[in-house]
Amino acid sequence: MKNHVKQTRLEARLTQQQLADKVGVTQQTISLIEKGKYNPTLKLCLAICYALGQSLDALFWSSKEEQP
Amino acid sequence: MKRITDERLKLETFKNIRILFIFENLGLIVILIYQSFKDGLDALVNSPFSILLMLTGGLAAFLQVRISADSEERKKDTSKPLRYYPVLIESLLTGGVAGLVLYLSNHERYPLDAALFGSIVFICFLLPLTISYALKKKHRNDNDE
Repeated sequence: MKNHVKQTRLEARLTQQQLADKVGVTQQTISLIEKGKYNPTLKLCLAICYALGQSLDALFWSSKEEQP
Repeated sequence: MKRITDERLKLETFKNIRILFIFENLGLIVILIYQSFKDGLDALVNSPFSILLMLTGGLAAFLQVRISADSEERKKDTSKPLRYYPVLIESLLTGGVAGLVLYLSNHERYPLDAALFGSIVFICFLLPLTISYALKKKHRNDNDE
């Protein structure tokens, strides 16, 4: 699933490990989410949103045309 | 061992448990087949492994009732009212046929055995079908609210 986690994380000057520690997952999971290779649950999506101070829309919404 | 908090790793663990379950069951089946070849069918029936395998099958079927009820309900027309008597008739028929088959195989020896076997089959069908019926009814009530 395409998302804007990587871009937002870089803007917030956080490493994957720091974000992972904040939301309670492993760095590999954050990496897979950013690459779109793992679809997180809504609970984890919200945890990432809270950690990055963004809305669910801003991080995870993409229109139908944008989806691969 | 540290507790896993990562949801992705939890999912991976469940997948691994599924593989382990399949492996273990296949192992049990292979052991039972080997035992039946080596010591005969009696050893197979008396083996605690076969009891364990049967209990696992029964437990799996019981746990699967909720999922079956959901998937069956999705296929069927939910506007039709849900009735209990088909469950009863289905169980009675199955139990009756099972008892009759045993009775017909030997009239003199098995009348009581046939009745007992028919009753057991009846209960074995009635219980899961009743649970399934109750679940479907509960889901319909939940949907109506």
